[in-house]
Amino acid sequence: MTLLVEKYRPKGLEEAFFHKNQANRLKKQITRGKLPHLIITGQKDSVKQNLLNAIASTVFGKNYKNNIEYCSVEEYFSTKAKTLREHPEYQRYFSEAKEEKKRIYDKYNIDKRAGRTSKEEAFKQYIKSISRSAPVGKNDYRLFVLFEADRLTQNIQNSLRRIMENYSSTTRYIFDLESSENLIEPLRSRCYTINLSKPTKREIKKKLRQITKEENIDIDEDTLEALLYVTNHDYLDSLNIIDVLNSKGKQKIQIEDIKELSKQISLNNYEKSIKNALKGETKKSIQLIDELIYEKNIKYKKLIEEWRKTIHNLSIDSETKKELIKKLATLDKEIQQLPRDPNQMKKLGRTLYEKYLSSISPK
Amino acid sequence: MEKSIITMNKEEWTEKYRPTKLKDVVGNKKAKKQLKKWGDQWEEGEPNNKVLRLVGPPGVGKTTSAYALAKQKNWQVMEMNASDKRTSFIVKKLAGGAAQTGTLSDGAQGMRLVIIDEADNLHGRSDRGGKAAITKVLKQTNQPMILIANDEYDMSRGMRSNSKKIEFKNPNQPEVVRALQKIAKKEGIKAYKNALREIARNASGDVRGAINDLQTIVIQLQVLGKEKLRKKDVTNLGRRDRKHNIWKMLNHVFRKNDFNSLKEVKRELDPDITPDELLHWIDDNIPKRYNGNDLFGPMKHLAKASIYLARVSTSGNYSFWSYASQQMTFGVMVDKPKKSPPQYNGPKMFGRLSKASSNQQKQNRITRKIADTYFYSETDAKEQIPYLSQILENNQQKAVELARTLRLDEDEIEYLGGDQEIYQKLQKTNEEHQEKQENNQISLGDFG
Repeated sequence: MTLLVEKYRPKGLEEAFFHKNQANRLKKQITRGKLPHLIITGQKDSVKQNLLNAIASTVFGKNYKNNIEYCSVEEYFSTKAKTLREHPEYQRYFSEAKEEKKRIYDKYNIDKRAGRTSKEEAFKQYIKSISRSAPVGKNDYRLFVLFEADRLTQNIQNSLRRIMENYSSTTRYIFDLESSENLIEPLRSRCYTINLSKPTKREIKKKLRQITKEENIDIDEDTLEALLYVTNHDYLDSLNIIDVLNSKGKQKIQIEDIKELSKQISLNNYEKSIKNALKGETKKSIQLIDELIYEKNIKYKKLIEEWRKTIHNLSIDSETKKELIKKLATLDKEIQQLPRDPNQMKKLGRTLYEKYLSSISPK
Repeated sequence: MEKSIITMNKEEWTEKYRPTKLKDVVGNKKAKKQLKKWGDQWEEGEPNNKVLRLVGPPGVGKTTSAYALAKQKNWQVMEMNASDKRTSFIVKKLAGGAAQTGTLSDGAQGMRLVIIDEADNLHGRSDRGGKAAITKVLKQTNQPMILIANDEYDMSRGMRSNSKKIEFKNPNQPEVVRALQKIAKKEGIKAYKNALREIARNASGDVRGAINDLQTIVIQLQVLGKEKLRKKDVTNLGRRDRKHNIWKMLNHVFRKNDFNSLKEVKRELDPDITPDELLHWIDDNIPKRYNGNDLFGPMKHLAKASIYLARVSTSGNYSFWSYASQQMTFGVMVDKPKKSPPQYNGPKMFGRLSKASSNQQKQNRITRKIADTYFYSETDAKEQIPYLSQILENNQQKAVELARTLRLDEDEIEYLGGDQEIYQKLQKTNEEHQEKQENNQISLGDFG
């Protein structure tokens, strides 16, 4: 028994239940020959993970993990260099990159010391080392997945141009992006782009119905509707909530349970903070956001995204809505100006959202 | 003279004059009353709240009150503090034993008070499992128990929800002065009241600190051969000076409207205090009564200051510092909606950050495990954590299986809200699995 999210992932491209067209096209490509380099774009709630999983298991079968390497670029670059130097996975690339630098300096007789390796250099080394390694078993290539590749710096992207050409016989690259514009043109031209949209409400409902039926979970139409409202039609979140409520020993899922749970996992902090601020209770809403930022370690990007969704769904007059969105844009702009270091961001960002929340309260 | 110095060094006044009656503890009338009521309840049978937590700043008499109560009620005391190692085994053995049986001498009637001092200071590594064990003891106890902490939010959730809170506050200055006078009298020292007042002001509510200060100053005086303690002798304390300057400045920002005097105060401010730190002093002391749109005036300037500070750290150009600090002081002073009573405390930002980073480390380890097992990106894996912790809290069987697939260790299970039993069961299944494997290997070997 694992998580339902894991249990109901497609075990191959033919089983895909969202984005069937794209899955079919990919399936054809794979049977005809090699998988092309891929760019997969889509927002967070487009259930990209399932498609990636399906690709991997179609290409490599059940034991796909041997031939796949994946890393989360966003996490890598938002972690402190000091932590990365002790990270079990990335540690070696820091020293390898230094050795490499020394070797080049020696070769060209440059009188310079190889100083401290930066995060970027180590990451380049990481990409190189992974690309070089040969596939395991009968397969003639490996997959290298870069999640949240939007965060790849120009420098790394440029070095990838050459690396991709050199090792394309043994390594296939998959870039997981929010928008393909964040990748440089030469890389885009080397890849096959798949745009994924969010699955429609009907598709999600159909799938959830099927799952609850198989798992013998009782959920009626209204409750399902409420669940989708709470999660903003997010398939994974909805399934997770069903999973949690089911493991609490509830056969029949009720609306109250969902409300209670969304309070517990502070899913409704976003909505509540905006509502409180509109009522003039700014202190309360600041507290809610403090909890998200400093205890749950939510990123500002996610905060703004959730706020934007909430504002769209709020039932208020369009004049206020326009104001809210305009001010949210300012907040986003201001947060962009903060230093990239996560600690610094947390330290300086608080006044910014405090200002936003106080600015939207009634006069 | 030398002899007296030695004898004085031997015994600290804070210990020598530690009150043995609740009413002698300085200040905190309300808290003492609550504590006494709780003690009385025990004489009539088990009260609803068997566990108290005393929360308050250091040196205001939390531990002293607890001991004084025990003395008045003739209870035996069992104390565990941070100098003891507090792993789950030790807690169970010591506190658990004391909390469930009466004392030997008086049979079941004799009460035994368990005091867990510095309950906010249990460390993950050296006090492994201690938090969970204490929570368990709290739930089962039939004896009075008191938890003592400076910051209640550093205590685990289980400890907080199983105890009743009594808050201790800093006693006010006259109360501290009175306590100092008493001690001086008992020691036979002639001290002017304004000197004692200076010491009390400097300690700002920390009674223990004030008494310690008094003792050091008196020793210095006696070495010099002086007999009276005057105000001018109270120098070089320095400990709270820094804070005092900041408070003066906050007062000017939030209560006055005088540009020039604020400028003066700002100049006097300790150069150690960077605008970065100052921002959090002001941000965390925005008066409680401001709410809603009132906040917007001050916040507008603080946000601007933040952005200037951000530019300093991205561009390395420190000339922006002056704009930042001007925004956050003059700007807030001008645009504050109304004056407010002085209630200042230190910035909470650094506590928040350290909590965030310790949470982050635990989260990172868990997300890495989720990402590795399920082929997720770490960002997606992070979204999974709240759901995981819900499952771990509510369904033990599923929790064990999940912990096994994800290879969670004890700390990680605890972070996700699972209890110790999950870990024990997990270990059991792991051992069984290993045994099975070993058996298989042996039988294969036999074939060969």
